[in-house]
Amino acid sequence: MNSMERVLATLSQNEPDRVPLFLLVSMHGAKELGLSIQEYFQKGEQVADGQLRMLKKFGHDCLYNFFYASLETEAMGGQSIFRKNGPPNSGAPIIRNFEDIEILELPRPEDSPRLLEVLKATRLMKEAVGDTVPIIGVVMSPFSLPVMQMGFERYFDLIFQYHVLFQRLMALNEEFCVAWANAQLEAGASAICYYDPVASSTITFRDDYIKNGFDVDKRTISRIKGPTAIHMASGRCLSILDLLAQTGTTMVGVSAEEDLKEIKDQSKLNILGNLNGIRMRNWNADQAEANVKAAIRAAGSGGGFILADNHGEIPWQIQEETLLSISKAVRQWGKYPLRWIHETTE
Amino acid sequence: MDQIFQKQQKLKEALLSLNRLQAESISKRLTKERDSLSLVEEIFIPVLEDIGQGWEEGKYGLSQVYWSARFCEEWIAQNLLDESGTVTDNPRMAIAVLEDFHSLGKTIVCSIIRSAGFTIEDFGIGISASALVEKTMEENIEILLISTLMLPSALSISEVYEQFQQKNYPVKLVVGGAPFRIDPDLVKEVRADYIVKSAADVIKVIRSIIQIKHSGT
Ligand code: B12
Repeated sequence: MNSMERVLATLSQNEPDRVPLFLLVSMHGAKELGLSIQEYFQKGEQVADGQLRMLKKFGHDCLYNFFYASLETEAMGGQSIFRKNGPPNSGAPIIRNFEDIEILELPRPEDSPRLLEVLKATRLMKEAVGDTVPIIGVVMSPFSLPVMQMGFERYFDLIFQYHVLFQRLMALNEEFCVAWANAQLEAGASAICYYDPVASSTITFRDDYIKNGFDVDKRTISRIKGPTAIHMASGRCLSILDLLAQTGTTMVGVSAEEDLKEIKDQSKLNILGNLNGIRMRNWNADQAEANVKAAIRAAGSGGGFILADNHGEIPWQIQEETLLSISKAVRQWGKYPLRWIHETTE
Repeated sequence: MDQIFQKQQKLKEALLSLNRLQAESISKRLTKERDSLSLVEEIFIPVLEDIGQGWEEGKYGLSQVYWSARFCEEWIAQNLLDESGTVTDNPRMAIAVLEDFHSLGKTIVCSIIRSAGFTIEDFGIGISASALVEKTMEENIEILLISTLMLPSALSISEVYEQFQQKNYPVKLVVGGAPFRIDPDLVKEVRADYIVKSAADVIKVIRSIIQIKHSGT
């Protein structure tokens, strides 16, 4: 089975030859090419090259066109603040006052030189692997993006006090998100990872999600012309699993803070997760193996599961050896049928 | 006791539903009934701690923690300012967001600390380790609270610790933010004195530092 067949089998809730592994590595490509993180993300061809090298090295089951989250706000006139040892942060907000929303206009993705680099990377990856390896595209959800557009505090005030302006911002972000997702699909992405951690119960109470974010997600996801995974970026989601299943998404990216087995038992959706990326930096080979086994034991049976980290981005601090240990452990313990999970109970 | 519990519950309900009018009218009534100190100690702080704890357990959203803390801070500042700023034993405290540009955690922590009647200096966001150490020493800070959201920034707290060691400056380091919740072992790695998982627990930590200082241990 190639990676694409393996992933498609698991997504249709069948057991493939083994549990698919998505090592969602982004910045590590810079290490491969001997570039700084900032230099690396300047050019789509570098990102494609880095991704293809990492695919070969780690032997996992996807390519990932993710640069960093604030690329979207860069396209809207904002800036990213780079650092040497981690992903950039978004700079000054593009929306400084609530009134700014009244006159805000968002660009078309194809008019943004920065986003075009992502499309270029996607195209080059597609040329290299065709339909053998899934290429994962990325968008920020319209409901989560405003944290970078205007800052968290102001965004909370917008949601709860300025409902009309909130709705207007959602409408603008929805258009942008749909166009951006579909442009990536057209460039060759096989599926879209739809990041929506503000919807997670780490941030938003279930009732408030129903009132404010749920319809936005439903509307947006229904207009994306390909499969999506709604990702909580390690925020919690047990209390909204039923709602997420109604958004039309096929998969949910879940947190290490919640019990994977409980999620698997309760969820109708396929599951992506949930290795703890922050703890991972201190794992030795045995710990990597133990964590891989625990996740497979909790969620592997019957398919519907892709092993990944719980955030959707492996931190820069994670050593290559750890990623290789994870990959090795999946090959050893992820082979279907998973008889061993009934035999031992460690 | 029961009566206090009921009052706490009423305020809590108003705060959780982000109902400003109701929260104000409950607070007004309570101010007439009791002195500022007991209002803060017996109502505001336990309610904020309870909401913070509920967030930690996944029962409430962060928007509710944020809104409640901001409401209490503003209300106390406007209505009880004279008396509430009267914590007699207020250690010199400051808070900063190290290297990152995310202020929400800091805003919530500050509001809760101020709601408890303490004063705290705000050193802002995006500050480097050496600038933070310098400012802390200039201002004779005894308790330094650091918030981080990104892993590399959390790891940089080690640098802050080392610089204080080199300069032989005695300060208690209290740290918090997402990376510490996701990996509580991180606190040992960066050698901070205290980790706080939910903003509302900060009052207990500050009080225990004060107590230890007094008992001379
Ligand atoms: C929502 C979210 C997002 C949203 C909004 C983020 C934001 N604030 O700007 C979006 C989608 C935009 C996003 C993007 C990114 N994110 Co994000 N995100 C999250 C999530 C789910 C919640 C973060 C948050 O804002 N929480 C709200 C704050 C207030 O909560 P908190 O920090 O825990 O603080 C509470 C307590 O800890 C305490 N506290 C905080 N500080 C202090 C200090 C003291 C002294 C005390 C006493 C208490 C205290 O008080 C608060 C209330 O109780 C976390 C994962 C998680 N499970 O928490 C990841 C997370 C923060 N993201 C992460 C990353 C990496 C990113 C990106 C850099 C990804 C990328 N490559 O682009 C971008 C950066 C975007 C930016 N703004 O520049 C990582 C950071 C760690 C790391 N790996 O380096 C996290 C931890 C995910 C993970 N598991 O790795 N993200």
